[in-house]
Amino acid sequence: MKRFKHLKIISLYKNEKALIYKATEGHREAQQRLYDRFAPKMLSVCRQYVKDLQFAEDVMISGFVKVFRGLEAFRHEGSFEGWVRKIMVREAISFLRKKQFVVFDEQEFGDSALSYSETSSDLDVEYIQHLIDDLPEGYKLVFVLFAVEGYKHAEIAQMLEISENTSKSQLFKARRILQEKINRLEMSGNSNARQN
Amino acid sequence: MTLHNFEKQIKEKLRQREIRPSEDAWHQISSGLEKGKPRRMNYLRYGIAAGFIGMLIISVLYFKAEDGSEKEVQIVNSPPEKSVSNRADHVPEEEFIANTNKEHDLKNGEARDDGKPTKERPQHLVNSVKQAVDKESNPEVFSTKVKVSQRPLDQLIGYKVTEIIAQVNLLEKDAAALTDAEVDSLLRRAQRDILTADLLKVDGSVDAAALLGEVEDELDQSFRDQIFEKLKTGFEKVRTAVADRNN
Repeated sequence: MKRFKHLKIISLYKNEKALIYKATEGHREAQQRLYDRFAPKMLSVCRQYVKDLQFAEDVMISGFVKVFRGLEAFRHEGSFEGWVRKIMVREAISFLRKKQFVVFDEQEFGDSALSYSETSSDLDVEYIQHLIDDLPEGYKLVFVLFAVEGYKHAEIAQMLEISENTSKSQLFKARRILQEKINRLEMSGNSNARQN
Repeated sequence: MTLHNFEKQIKEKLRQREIRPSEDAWHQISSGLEKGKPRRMNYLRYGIAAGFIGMLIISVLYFKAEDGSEKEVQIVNSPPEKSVSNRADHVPEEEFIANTNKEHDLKNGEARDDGKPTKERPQHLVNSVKQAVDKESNPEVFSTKVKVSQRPLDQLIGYKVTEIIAQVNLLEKDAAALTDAEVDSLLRRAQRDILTADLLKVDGSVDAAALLGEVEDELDQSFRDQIFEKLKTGFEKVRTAVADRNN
């Protein structure tokens, strides 16, 4: 069974590579297959940054157009999904900048440690998204880039053209807001339990 | 739950999430890619077209320039100029002394020893006129001129030759003496007539090249006349001095 799984992964990888080569040559069917494979995940990525799903889809569409036009730049050194994801993230940031949603405040942040309550383990993805959506755009961008995409502060600072300190400050504030919201959720959950 | 665990959970859940795009999304991507493609093709097409047009313009200008230079050569080497210059410069150099002597003699009312002061001269001059005009009409020497308008020019030259011969004959009969100057003036008038006729094209418009040629010729002619006059004056002075010495 393990051998079969291994072979399946290899064949998938080979298929993906072949698809990428064909898509690079402008083969529309290959491009569509790649799109079908990655579009749902990429729309989710865009949705992390853009609150409105319709706008998020627009960002994804323009991102895919850039992906297929710039396929020659893909060197097959890392994963294709990671490469596409980076393009989507940059496209989303560009979209937010164009719409002038992003405002970064430069206030200093405290150094107190934050901890989320235990009830937050039950959070479903929609509620997480809702919590993130409620964050100010600047906080949200830095939080998602740091906590979800795994970028470092230096990289975030370069991408958003801000200082590293601002990036850290935005992250701290985002975490504090999230903590407050979860605490409130916990309190309301406890009171509901008592009533029951 | 620690911060790290909570964020890890967020990361996992968000990374696993998939949102199905609308049906129209792929068509939009496809049309977006189509829009990009023709643009490149268009640039290529426009480039090729521009290159072709550029080559065409350059070739046309090149060939036109070549034609223009040929025409310039025609103007510079226009046959009347050469024939007249031959007549005015070279022939008089050899015959100048004799002709001037003759003129001088006639002016002083002296008769020649053979008693035929005028009869030989007109015949000789008529021959020289014929030669000069034949030179003009010689296609080998003035092949460039012939290129422009061969038949009308030949006809005109032929007509002028007969006209000059007739005039010379008339003068020969009527006048007691026919001088070189008279024949020269006849020749020059004929030359001018030919050149003027050459200026006009069939459609009545003026040939710019021929006009330019004529102007250059006129300028050249006046200069030549000046030299001619100076030579004549100098020669007469020398001749008078020699005559005085002999006396």
